[in-house]
Amino acid sequence: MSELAELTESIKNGKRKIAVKIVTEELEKNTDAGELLAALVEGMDIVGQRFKNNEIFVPEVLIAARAMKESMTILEPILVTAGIKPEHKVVIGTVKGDLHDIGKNLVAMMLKGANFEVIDLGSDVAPDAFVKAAQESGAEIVAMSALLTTTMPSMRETVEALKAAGLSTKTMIGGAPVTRQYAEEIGATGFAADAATAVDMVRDLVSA
Amino acid sequence: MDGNSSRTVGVIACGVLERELGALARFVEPAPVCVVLEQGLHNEPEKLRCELQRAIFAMEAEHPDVTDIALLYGICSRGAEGVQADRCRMALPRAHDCITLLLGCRQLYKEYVAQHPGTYWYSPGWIDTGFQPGPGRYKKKHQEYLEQFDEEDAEYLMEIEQGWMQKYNRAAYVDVGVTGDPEPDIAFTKQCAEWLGWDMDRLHGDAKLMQDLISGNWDDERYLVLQPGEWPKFVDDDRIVIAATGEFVPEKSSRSKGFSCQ
Repeated sequence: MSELAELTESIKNGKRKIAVKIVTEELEKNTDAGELLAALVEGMDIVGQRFKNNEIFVPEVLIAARAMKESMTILEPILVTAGIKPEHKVVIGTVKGDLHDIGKNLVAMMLKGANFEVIDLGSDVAPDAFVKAAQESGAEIVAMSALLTTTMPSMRETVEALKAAGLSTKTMIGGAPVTRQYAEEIGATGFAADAATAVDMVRDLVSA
Repeated sequence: MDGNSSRTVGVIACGVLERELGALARFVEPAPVCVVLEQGLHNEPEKLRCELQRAIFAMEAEHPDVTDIALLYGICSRGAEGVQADRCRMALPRAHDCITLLLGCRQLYKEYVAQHPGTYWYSPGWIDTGFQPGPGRYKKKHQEYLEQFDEEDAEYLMEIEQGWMQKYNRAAYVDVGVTGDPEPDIAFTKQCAEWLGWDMDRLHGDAKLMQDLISGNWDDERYLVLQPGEWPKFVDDDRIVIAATGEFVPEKSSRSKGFSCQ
């Protein structure tokens, strides 16, 4: 197996020490940083697909995402020097009143893994905080999550606040009680049923 | 509803309210037919919908004397959305979840959570599940991870688990005063709160909402009353649920990826 294939495999299996070792050694050998990034992204893509197909669950994704994150810590400065940077920005957070951020963190990690710049506002984020972050960052997408039906109205308020601020930012929603129909009802651009679909959806939205 | 004794209520309840139902049903005449479903189905809303629908049809088929079905549920992650009866009238409280049923009032729930957004709820039924945040849950979850991952990864997953708990700051214990001596449950909640570094609050709930529901005393303000063929639809305003007709088309949620209702 080539080193790059091994790197993909180590992400897929959440072997962070192996992943970090390969990235470090390959950089010493002057392997192209872009190729290393592609191998890492491929690993996270496989993780996303397996999660979508119910072959693995949240803990496995978290372990894989940690391997990805630690590898990126080493790779990122080299990518910056080489002028390789994420092309698209996404603002993400759980909506006002909702403290449940495991799903949101999963989406954020997988978006980073797919080489998007993620501005993570954390949890319990007020509509105007989403607006401010979207304005300041110029992000193309604002992604929101809610686990409770009690906090779903905050999604509607956030979508309305972004529109009222005159932003053309696309919006995407997700979380256990959230449906495509609700996205249509509140005028959100997109809906994703799980973290892997969220990555596909962001890819679609930025290329649309 | 007129409280006419020729009507018999069939109750379908979540296991988390089983103790409350057992105590309250004794006061209802004629005695309601009670069916209790497993607690925790809301974690997979499609599964809850499927089990609930199955229980409604079974109630209608097996108990011809039942004229009215009371669902001791909230909309529960939208798992109660879309269910319908063929023959009976049916009602469910205008509630997001069981905390409204325990507090007895949805406005009170809304106000409490707005005032204390970091609240995690404890009740007799929730404590029975053995999975409320606290030292016991920590131990169980840690053991579960150790069976699947190496020690370092298990530690990391526990850090994440504790991470979300740190977003909460309050354990609120609520009962409706019918489930026996509350002291052991209060002591348990206190112990969990101390272990987690949270404040603890003890709330006295109100059984009236549940009592009236299972007695068939349904008004439109507190309950959604459905005619045969109608189903509850979630709305994101203070009504919480409205009646809908026609085909209910379920959407797959992230929580029920592998589930299909056979």
